[in-house]
Amino acid sequence: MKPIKVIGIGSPFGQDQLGWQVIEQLQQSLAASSRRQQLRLLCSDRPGLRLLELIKDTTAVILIDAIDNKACCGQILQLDRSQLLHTEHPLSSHAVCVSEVLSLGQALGELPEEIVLFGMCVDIADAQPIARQHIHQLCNHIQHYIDQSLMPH
Amino acid sequence: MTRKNIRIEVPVLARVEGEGALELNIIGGKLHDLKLRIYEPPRYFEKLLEGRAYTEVADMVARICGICPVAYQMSAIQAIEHILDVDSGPWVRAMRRLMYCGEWIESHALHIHLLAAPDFLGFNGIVAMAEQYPDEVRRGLKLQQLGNRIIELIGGRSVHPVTVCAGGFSAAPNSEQARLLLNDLKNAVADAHTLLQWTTTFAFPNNPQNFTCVALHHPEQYPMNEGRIVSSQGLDISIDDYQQHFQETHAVHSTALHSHLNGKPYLVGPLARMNLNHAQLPKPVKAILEASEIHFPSQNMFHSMVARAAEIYFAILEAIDILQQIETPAQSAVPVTARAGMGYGCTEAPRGILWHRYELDQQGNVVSAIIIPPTSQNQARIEEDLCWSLEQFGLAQDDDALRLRGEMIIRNYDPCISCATHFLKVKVTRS
Repeated sequence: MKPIKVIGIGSPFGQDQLGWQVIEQLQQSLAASSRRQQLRLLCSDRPGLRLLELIKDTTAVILIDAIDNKACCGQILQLDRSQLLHTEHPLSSHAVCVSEVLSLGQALGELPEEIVLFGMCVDIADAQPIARQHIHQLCNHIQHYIDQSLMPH
Repeated sequence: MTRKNIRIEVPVLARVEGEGALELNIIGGKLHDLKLRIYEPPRYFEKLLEGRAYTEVADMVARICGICPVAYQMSAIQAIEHILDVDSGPWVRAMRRLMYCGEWIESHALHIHLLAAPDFLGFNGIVAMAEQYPDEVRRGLKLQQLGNRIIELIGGRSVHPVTVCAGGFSAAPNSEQARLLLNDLKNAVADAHTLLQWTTTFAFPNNPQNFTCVALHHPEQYPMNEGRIVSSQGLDISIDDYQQHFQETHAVHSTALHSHLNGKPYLVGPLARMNLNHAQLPKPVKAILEASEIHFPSQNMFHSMVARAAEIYFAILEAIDILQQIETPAQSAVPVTARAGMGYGCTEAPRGILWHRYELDQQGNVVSAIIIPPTSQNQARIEEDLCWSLEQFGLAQDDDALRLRGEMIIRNYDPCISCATHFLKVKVTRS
């Protein structure tokens, strides 16, 4: 069985490093879990089109990313396949976002069966670290999703 | 003839690097005013470099652009090594050329498939194009990834490489990774061949115009990292003499500077390089061009995409040639010693010549820096092209047609607007 990929994306700096911090937390919390070998945890610094390479060779992908919305910092969003895909045209290759890359993957028939993005609202301009409790909450959501949806007993 | 007054504003240009806008003012059926507005904030890189050690310059200038960081590092290191009187040797020269191959491949592949090809196939973007041309898009993404792998092999990572330094590299590439990459490059030759053939079949507008081409020229190889600056009007100068012939001025409507050669706009980039150096292409690349209806030198800016595809094919063959001869060096960098002086660097970024000048003090700290990106140099040429080409296209065309044609003309230049807005004159007081 192909491993489930859990990918933290975004810059490793500032509030955009949410994905990196969540992966680090999951690596610790799942270290002793029997499920660990069925998961592949990785981070990618703003992968752009490389995301299509990262999500290959798997049947399920969980993406983790910060969502810039300072009005509701700490709010967790779970976006499924239909919510992730749209066909807005990229303004430039400096700004190819996750949804556009996934739309391209869809057009090429290269998306895995299951794909979901877990995001947390942050203030991207905030230089302060993300609250640890927010990281814990998001990790709990992701682990719950893995247990209930991807690896039910 | 229908006469009309129309004003077209494209507030955000689609499918170019960075953010710019185009403003046309047509009065009485004639083009009265045209402005290509660059409104990204000035980046102040030249001022940021002042006071920094020469050892920091490569890392800092790489941040000017995520698509062409290698070009900034290569031009900067060339200038710094000029000051430090460093001969880094043949292995370093080969690795730098290999790194540049990677950048040309990834940048050109990205431009062709993400930005330009949709125009000529009737699509608004790559997603719609991928539904009808999936194999072509996959091929383009594969080539782009291959280019990134070359940069990663030499530079440690593909975005903002970390191994480039004065004297060479901080580390030699992993020999096993090099072997695997060589194998994949050989397998990609057929893809590059097919890509070039494919681009020669596009229905390009017939749009020849007068412009001066400027590029590096090297007596023995297709230019990347070394050469003299030449033009299609007979210019042939050392890179040290750039400022004696090229002038920068600030256009009021833009945060980028405009460049002129003896008072006139000029072209840099793949088409200019190809026009001035096509004789030095390897035979397999030449063969495809000779069999096609696209011939260089060409004065049709729409042939720029073919020039990029030809350079991808060339760069793959060149990378194979370098990797086949690669040896593990005794040292990845020669020793260097700080000294004062003025130095110049000029290399061929994917979008054209990128010229740097640095002055260092006795401790090797930057006293002053001048960075002239290719997109800045093309700004005046782009506006000249827009004026001429839109008149030729017909100003009586509807607004959407004018807007699309204007965008296509700009995309021929593959402008990296994020790089071009690199400074304004700033007075800094430090205490």
